[in-house]
Amino acid sequence: MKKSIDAKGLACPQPVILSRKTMAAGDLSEIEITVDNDAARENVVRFLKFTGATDPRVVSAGSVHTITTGVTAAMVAKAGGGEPAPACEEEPQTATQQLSGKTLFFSADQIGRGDETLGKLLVKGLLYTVSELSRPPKTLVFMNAGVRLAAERVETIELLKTIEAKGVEILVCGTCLDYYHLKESLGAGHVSNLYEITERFLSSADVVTVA
Amino acid sequence: MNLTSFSRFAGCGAKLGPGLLDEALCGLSQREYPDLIADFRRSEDAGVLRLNDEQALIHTIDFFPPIVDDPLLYGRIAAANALSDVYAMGGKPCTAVAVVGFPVGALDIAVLRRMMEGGLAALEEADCPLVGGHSIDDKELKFGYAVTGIVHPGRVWLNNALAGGESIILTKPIGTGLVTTAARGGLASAEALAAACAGMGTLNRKASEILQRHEVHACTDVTGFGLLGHACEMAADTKFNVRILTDAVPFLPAVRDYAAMGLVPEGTYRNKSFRMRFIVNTKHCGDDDLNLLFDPQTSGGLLAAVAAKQADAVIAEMHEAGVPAALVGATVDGAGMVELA
Repeated sequence: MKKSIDAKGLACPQPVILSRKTMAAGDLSEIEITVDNDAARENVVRFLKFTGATDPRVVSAGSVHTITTGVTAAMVAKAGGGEPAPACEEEPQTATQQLSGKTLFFSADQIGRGDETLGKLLVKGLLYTVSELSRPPKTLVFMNAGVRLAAERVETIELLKTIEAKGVEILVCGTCLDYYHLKESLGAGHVSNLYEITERFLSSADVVTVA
Repeated sequence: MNLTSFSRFAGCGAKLGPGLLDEALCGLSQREYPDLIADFRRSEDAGVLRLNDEQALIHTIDFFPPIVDDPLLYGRIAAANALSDVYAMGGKPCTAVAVVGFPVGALDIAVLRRMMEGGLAALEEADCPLVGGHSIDDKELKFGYAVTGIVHPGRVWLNNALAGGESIILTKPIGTGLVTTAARGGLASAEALAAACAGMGTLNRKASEILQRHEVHACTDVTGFGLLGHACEMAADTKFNVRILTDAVPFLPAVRDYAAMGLVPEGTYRNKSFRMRFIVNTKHCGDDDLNLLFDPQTSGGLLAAVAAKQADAVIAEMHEAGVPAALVGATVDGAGMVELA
């Protein structure tokens, strides 16, 4: 069966992306893509050859080009149907997706109720683990005594710096820093307000209260 | 949030093509100003005006649509990119003003806040105060800075002041256009995207400061016209050819795969159609390689022509400072062309 794509008016890389999707979905013996600029034509031909097409036909009328080729099972596989194509072995990610997801909320400088020393050890251990994650959360929020983790305790400040360097947003409640007279000693993250913090809570895929 | 969906373009892909720009500017002139060292009639990275015997003012602007989805990173890259023109002239940035086109209503204003934060962090790293800005409501998000800088009038690095016997040094790997195009299609690997973002977010400050301690004859930063496009500008109107050792050029991960898959930015084709006539022995490398070498860069590295005898020292100092510099070519007698070898 022949599948046709009208990619006129679409900017790079959309014509290639559409061609790839259509081909990867399978269930076709021929594909026809219409584009309206030279860059798109070259890119689509390049993509078809990448999948193994030997000689894609190009019919041009003015600036409109129609590219046609037969499609084999091997080409469907190469386009990402069945087995992943070489360039996309890893899960497709964009900069946001990479950091997408959760917000961790710290409202205290220790985890749980019980022994204080244990609670503080636990929070440090948890931050260490977060600093080692390959897919870190999107945002860490610190309020009330939680701000001590970013402004008072040297070892957690260092961990937070590492976490921040990975692109994780660290929001520290300004009102709380003022209350504890810690504004001057903020060591990681940036001073935030309730507006911004509320916005993060509402826009995050998930908010996990850690401490 | 997909910032890049608020633009039709992939970053520097929005730049007017060199052919179009030539058409608009060709023949345009202004009266002579005795203290003008560089204006729009030369294809310089920035304008330069002599203030006195010790100081010349560098003035430049650069803004573009979002190239990544993270507003903090977008702001950072926009600042690094705008500052780069000052570094490419051998100068030190002095002040910056922000230029913003923002789709009010379509995007939360907190996004602009994050962009400003990202930019400010990069400006602070450059010791360059933000002194103001201008914003308009705009369907397509745009962000950047106008930056001034200071340089000694006798030590301005022009693009093409070649004297012969130089080594050509490149300070960042090539391929941000391909990676960001692949990212728009959801096809960029995490590794490639991270490497591209790290590169684009890095200031050219260290690279410039190290070069300033050596004998630099010409320098530019690699941006929209691609490595070969900017190499052409370096060779233009000189008695020399810039020879690029294609095997020595460092590339970001996976860019060859993306080029083979047709994830080539439109700007690459524009660059090729305008500059191919200045490239000799194009047969030396395949079409895929040409698509890498003409890939439009955002916040690319410096491309510097340094006295050959100092090249090793420059590279060693750069590596010491964490700058991934590479020796990618040399100047040879010629006629203002770029040779591939």
